[in-house]
Amino acid sequence: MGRKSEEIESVSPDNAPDRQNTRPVGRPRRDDPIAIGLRKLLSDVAEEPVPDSFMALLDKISAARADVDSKSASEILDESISGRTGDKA
Amino acid sequence: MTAETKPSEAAAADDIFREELLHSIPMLRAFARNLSGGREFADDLVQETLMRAWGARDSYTPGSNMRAWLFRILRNHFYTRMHVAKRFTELDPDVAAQTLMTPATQEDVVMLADLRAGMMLLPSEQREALLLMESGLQWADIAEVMGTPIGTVKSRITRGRAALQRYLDGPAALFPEEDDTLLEQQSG
Repeated sequence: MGRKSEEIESVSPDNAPDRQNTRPVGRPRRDDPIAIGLRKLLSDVAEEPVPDSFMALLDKISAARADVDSKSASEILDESISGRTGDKA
Repeated sequence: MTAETKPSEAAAADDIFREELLHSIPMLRAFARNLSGGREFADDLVQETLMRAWGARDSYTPGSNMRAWLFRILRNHFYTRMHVAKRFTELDPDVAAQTLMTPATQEDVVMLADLRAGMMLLPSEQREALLLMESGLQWADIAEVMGTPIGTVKSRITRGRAALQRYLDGPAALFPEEDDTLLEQQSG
């Protein structure tokens, strides 16, 4: 199962090894191992606690939206990104 | 009274929009992490997506598919960042460590580690299509997010899946005869 970091060769109509064994175009079955694995990769991240920096950012945006003379969106974003040190929840 | 009501309604609409954004953050982080391969880069993308969503909220139709709308903003920004910075995907150190520390006895975990590694070797368009599909979007929504016809989406998914399967099958699937020879040599 060990993998090397080689580029995966995309399967195009010209180099498909076995078109008969390729699933027809469409959604894979729900019990397909790759589909299950991909959903697990997604859910693993989605189930992580959301870092506080995201809530802080939305608070800043809300405050800025309420004040037309406030900082520009890009300024808020710059501050948010530069201030997000050690926030790796 | 009208003058007081309008700001109040606007504030209420802002609150609803904010709540919807908050609710979307986990799945945006999941999509961004698996698309970009890096934790910090992914979270930057999500934060920028939230900013842009707020800025463009007038273009969002309440009741429409906010998830697809946010995915589109995020992926467009991802490709802009990739194009401008010529930045190739970097494996997050945490992800790499997790891959290296995968217990060999847990086959499903090994498969996930291989799948994660394989995904990062796919062309980003195929990776993106696979992630959007497994995020639960419908064909039409995926096509809208990616800005391509549905047929192109299906083609990318089919090619991506085939490439992933070959990657997961490993050398034994690529060179079965050679493997048999090796086994015979070892046993003989």
